[in-house]
Amino acid sequence: MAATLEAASAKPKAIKLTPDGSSLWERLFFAVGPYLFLILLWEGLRRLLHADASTMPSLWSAVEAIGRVAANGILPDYIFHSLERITVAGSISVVIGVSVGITIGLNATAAALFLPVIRYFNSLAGIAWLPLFLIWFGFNDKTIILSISYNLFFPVVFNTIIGIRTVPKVFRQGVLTLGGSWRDVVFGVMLPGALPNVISGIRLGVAYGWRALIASEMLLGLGGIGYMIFKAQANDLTDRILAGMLLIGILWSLMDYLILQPLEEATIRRWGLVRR
Amino acid sequence: MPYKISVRGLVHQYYNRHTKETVLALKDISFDVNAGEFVTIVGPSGCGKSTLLSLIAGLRKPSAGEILVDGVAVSGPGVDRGMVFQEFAILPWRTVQQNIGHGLEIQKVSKEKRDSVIARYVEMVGLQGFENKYPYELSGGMKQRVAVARTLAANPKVVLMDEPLAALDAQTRVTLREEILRISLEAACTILFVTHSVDEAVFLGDRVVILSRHPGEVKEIVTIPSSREERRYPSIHENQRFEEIKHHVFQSIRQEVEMADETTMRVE
Ligand SMILES: Nc1ncnc2c1ncn2[C@@H]1O[C@H](COP(=O)(O)OP(=O)(O)OP(=O)(O)O)[C@@H](O)[C@H]1O
Ligand SMILES: [Mg+2]
Repeated sequence: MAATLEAASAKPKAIKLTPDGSSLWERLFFAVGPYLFLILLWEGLRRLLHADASTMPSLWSAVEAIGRVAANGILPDYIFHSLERITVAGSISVVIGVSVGITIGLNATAAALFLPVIRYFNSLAGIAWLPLFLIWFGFNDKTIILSISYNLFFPVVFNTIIGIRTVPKVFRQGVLTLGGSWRDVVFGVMLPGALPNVISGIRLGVAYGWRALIASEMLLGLGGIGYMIFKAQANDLTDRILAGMLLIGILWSLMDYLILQPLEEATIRRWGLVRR
Repeated sequence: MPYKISVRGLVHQYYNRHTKETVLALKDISFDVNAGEFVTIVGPSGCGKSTLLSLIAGLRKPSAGEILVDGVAVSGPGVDRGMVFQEFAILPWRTVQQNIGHGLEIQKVSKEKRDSVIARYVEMVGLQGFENKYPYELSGGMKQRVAVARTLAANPKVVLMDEPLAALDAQTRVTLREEILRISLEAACTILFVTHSVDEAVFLGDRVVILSRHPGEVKEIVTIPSSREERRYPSIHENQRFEEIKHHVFQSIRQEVEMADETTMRVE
């Protein structure tokens, strides 16, 4: 008994509940640890297989390749192209996807009419449309943007529908008993209530769209990071291929980390849906 | 003068689309409420109290019977009938003051007017200092107080309250009972108040409607002889008549609960 009392009155040791509360070293470990492991794995495999630089270039030579394309101006230009395309496609798909999702979420008739069709088209990968898009629009930026939009659209629609449908009924009823009209219900309850799901859908959609972007850039030859990889293959520039792949991941991570994730967390936290 | 609320032969049956089962929640409810009256409703859990309030609010359509408010049949929800829900129903993305002012916002009341009403209700329910907090930062009892304030701030003629004080500590509950009593006299609104607490029902009500076990019927309506102005805690407990009525209501409900246990073999 005395021992427990003593222990209790002793200065309590800080208990770490979240990575936020942990030391700088720990955070650094969780941030770079996994990547460090992958780097070691790649370099290890290269040595183990005695791979030569033209099949499996070292990561360092890929970094050097990034430096070269950055210095000769190709890289900024290609990054700009890729980011521009995902932004335009994202804006189109978010506007259309959210509107369609809201309509279907709110209206049973619309759901019965359109949901099966949307599910059907969801099963057709965006890349399967590329030949048709090429015939319709040609080797053109429109084709790339359409292909990205297509892939981005579905996660946005489905998540918006889920968001609308999972708004508790009693929230709607509450606003109705305050004298609210259907307008107050839609704009004051359904839309804000669905927002966390909508944003998760956008985050997922942009990830899908990003993949479609790389794939269609490879095929169309109109610049962009995807094209850079493709052209490098034709010229046997393996280090540049690897550089492109690194960049795709890095650019995505930056977009996600700087824009999408904070947006998602802010809404979810403010809505009180997750208590950490 | 017509009654403020008339409930005539109300029947409500729930239909489950998936199991194709029906549940009879209310079977033939009739009673009248005068303007300015405070009527409390008690009954065993599951007897249909929440169902009754949502029908009067116009959130559901009755299977049979009708509800008249000021002599006009209820056809849907309206600003004249505010409701405090058993599940609070305040919006998680609105702060305390945004929730309380929501009804006024809907009525397009000017910002200055709204702010002064909000401030009054924040103080009344004792949430000073929490005006800018979001519901997830509040305790259950605090959320319930926001819900009560939100409904009252919209100034409805009829206030429907579904166990609004259930999640509160004893002290706050007593304070809020007195507050609600005061508001009911000041605002001249008509109140229907569902509660599980017999003490609360008898303290607040001009009349207490006792519902039977599931499916609900009006078992008995008890008139409380004293006027609401005279009631105060704790002196009310010294009133012999008050204690007798409480005992009577308590026995009446207990009988129903026991019979419900026998018929359904369910322990509440
Ligand atoms: N949405 C629903 N669908 C089907 N049955 C329902 C539904 N809501 C309530 N019921 C049933 O109707 C009956 C009355 O429910 P209600 O919620 O009105 O009871 P209550 O008196 O408010 O109970 P409590 O005191 O526990 O809140 C119960 O038997 C319940 O199972
Ligand atoms: Mg209930």
